[in-house]
Amino acid sequence: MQTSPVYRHAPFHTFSIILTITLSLGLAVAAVNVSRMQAFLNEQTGNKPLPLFAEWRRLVAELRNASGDEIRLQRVNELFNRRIAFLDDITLWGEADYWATPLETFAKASGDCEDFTIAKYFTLVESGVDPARLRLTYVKARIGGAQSKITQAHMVLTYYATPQAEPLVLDNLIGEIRPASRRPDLLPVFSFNRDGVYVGGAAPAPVERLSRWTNLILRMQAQGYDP
Amino acid sequence: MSLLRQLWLLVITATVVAFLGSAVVNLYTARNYLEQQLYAQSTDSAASLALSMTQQPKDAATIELMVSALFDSGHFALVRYSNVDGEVISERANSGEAGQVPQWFIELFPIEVATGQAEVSDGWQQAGRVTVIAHSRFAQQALWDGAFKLLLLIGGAGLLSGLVMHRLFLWVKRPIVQMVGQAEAISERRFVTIPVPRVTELRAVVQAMNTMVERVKTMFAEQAARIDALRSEANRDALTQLPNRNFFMGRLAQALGDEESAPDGALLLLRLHDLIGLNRRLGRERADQFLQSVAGKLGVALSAQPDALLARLNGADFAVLLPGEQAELAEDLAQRMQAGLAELRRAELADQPDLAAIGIAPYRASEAIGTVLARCDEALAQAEGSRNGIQLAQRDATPPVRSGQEWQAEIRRALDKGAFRLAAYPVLRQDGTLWHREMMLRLQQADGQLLTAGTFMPMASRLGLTSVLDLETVRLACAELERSQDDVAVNLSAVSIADAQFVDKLLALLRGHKAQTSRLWLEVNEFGFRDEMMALAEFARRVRPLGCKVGIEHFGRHFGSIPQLYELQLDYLKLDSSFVQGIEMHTGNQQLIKAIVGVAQGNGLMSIAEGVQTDAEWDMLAKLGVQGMTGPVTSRREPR
Repeated sequence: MQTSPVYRHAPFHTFSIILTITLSLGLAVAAVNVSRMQAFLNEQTGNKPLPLFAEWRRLVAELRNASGDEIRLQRVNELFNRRIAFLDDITLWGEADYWATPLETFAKASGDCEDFTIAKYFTLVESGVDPARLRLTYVKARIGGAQSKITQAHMVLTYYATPQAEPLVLDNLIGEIRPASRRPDLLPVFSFNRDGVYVGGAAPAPVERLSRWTNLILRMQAQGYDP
Repeated sequence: MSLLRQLWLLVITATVVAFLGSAVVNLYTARNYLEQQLYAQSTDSAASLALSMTQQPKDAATIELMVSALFDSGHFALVRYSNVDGEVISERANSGEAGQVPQWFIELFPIEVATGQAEVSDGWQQAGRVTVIAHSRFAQQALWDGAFKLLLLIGGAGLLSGLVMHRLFLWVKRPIVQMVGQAEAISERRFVTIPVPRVTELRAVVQAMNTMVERVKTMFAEQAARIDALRSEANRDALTQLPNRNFFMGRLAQALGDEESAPDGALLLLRLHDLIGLNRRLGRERADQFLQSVAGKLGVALSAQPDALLARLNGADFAVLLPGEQAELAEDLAQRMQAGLAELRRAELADQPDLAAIGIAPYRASEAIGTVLARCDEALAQAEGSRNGIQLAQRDATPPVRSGQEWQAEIRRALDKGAFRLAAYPVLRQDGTLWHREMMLRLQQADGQLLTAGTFMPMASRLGLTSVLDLETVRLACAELERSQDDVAVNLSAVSIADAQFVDKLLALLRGHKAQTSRLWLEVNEFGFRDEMMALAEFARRVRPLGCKVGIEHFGRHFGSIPQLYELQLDYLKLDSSFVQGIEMHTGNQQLIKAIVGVAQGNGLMSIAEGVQTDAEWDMLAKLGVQGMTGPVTSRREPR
């Protein structure tokens, strides 16, 4: 069984080289500028202490040393599903569809399905999960069970232990992690991982700003979180 | 390297640098942009294909169709579908060349397209991966076209700015060339002004130069005026402003002794009766007024004779020199003078009926000055008692008079037979060594007798043959130059040098003797009129390249006509003998000569004195700074 490389390395990006050196200098959380993140949160919450952020940092630090992805998935899914309230974008951000960064989600302590998925995704990657095993998946959700006629566009995070494996679904509708076969209420439509939309570490070029994903990454970087 | 060429080089260098600089920046920017566009195209196409494939069955035919559909409908280098294990299931590739873009350009600016990838799912399961690479052909073409247009644009701009700079340079160059010309003229002691240019930086320089030139001109004009004043003071009678005795005697000596003088002429002496008595009866003031009126009346009586020289010798004595005129005309003039004086009496300026007596003596050029004066005095004494107060002295024999036709025939004969000869008069330096020989044209008649220039030149002039004879003189002089190693000077008439045809012929003749022309001195009579001066300046300019020296002879002969030397490019002056004679005793003329020599030296001119007769004159002239001497004295001084 052959696994194709999932990282694309742009050949001459000094920026990424510098970044790699910076990372290897042994910061507690690799590309995380805690003081900048804190400053952003303070600005958002009006200097109100945010226990969620502290909890998140502790969890990430703890999970980096954990063995096996299972515990990571479990703890991260639990953290967000428990501490973040569901609220749709139009209520929260005044926009029909807004992809919030994890920090924005922390600050609001709420978000919609995409915000959950994004926050979980980056937290898992930060905790040491191979990003190749994670997919952001667009699904059609039958609200109220497999037989429901009411459907809704929804996004979940899926985890593939191997490329051929049945994925585990991390969802904010149902608190526990279940294999895909046990989610008859969800119909997968399309999935992507960051290879399709984002060149890791590359300096964002003008054309890439058009992409939503890149826009998200840029905002994260501005907030002190460079994935 | 000229300034213009340097400027062009600068423009070309600037254009090349500008092109390379902007081309590199432009091409890199454009390439970067194009790569991103192509990457976006790859990524977007991959995502679309993946999205479509996710919705479709994953059988080989469908996959093949979808891969082909995308590939065929767009510009792609590669469209590939591989399964989860990385096995290629379907692939379409196009490695076509990049159109008309040259290979070296592609190698220099390669466009590397990043791969676009997207995941294909089958339900919850991963199905495979789509890889898309957009084709760079059109981007490469666009990049090449861009570079080409840039080259055209910058090349055009460079050419345009070069032309503009060229025009600008020419505009600036004109006044610079004029300034260089002015500087060169000044170094040759020609003081000319030039128009003030519009270029601000040059304007100040030109204005300063022009001001300097104007000052120098003024200075020279003042000097010339001073010389004129000295000349006048030393040689004019203070009361009547007529030439004085000294000047008159000098001119009389010339008329009798010079090679160029007319062969004969007449001398008139006029004596007012009883001037002492008049003085006593009318008072000094009225007597002076009377004398001035006499001078005026005599001048009017002689106004038809431009060559006549009227002078006041002393108290009651006036003299008139009529070179080249016959006794009959002299008598006629004497009667007119008497008639003029008679008017004075009627105007009651005088109280005596019989105012003056006039003695007339015809002379020949070879006679001694004393003989002529004595004969005239005798005639005057006879006139005192005569009825009309005029007495003509008798002369031994009248020379045969030739008609115009006879003269023409004689001159033509001489030209054809080569009967013209040159008589040489040496000009010596202060130390007595030979400087050059002044050559005078003589005509050898059929009987062997030689006629001097003074005899036939007036007739030749009347017949319009002056230029022909001048050319003959130069021709003979050139032959003389070839014979000997000495310098030779010849006289040219003002008419000739103003004649362009003559100058052309002269130059042609001189070019045939290029080896000798540097030893040829060309001199013309003193000039007074502005247009004659212009002609002389032009003549000097044309002759100069051949190395001939150009000078003025009889300088100072006429009053009030000291030429503005600084405007002429001359080499020497020959000072007229009329103020050389008796110079050792005449302080006025000493001052005059000193002033002239000063101006001459200031303008780089040599000065030579004419008609030097005695050693005393020689010594005084040498003391005054005159560099060369000619005249009777040279026969004693010339080294044998």
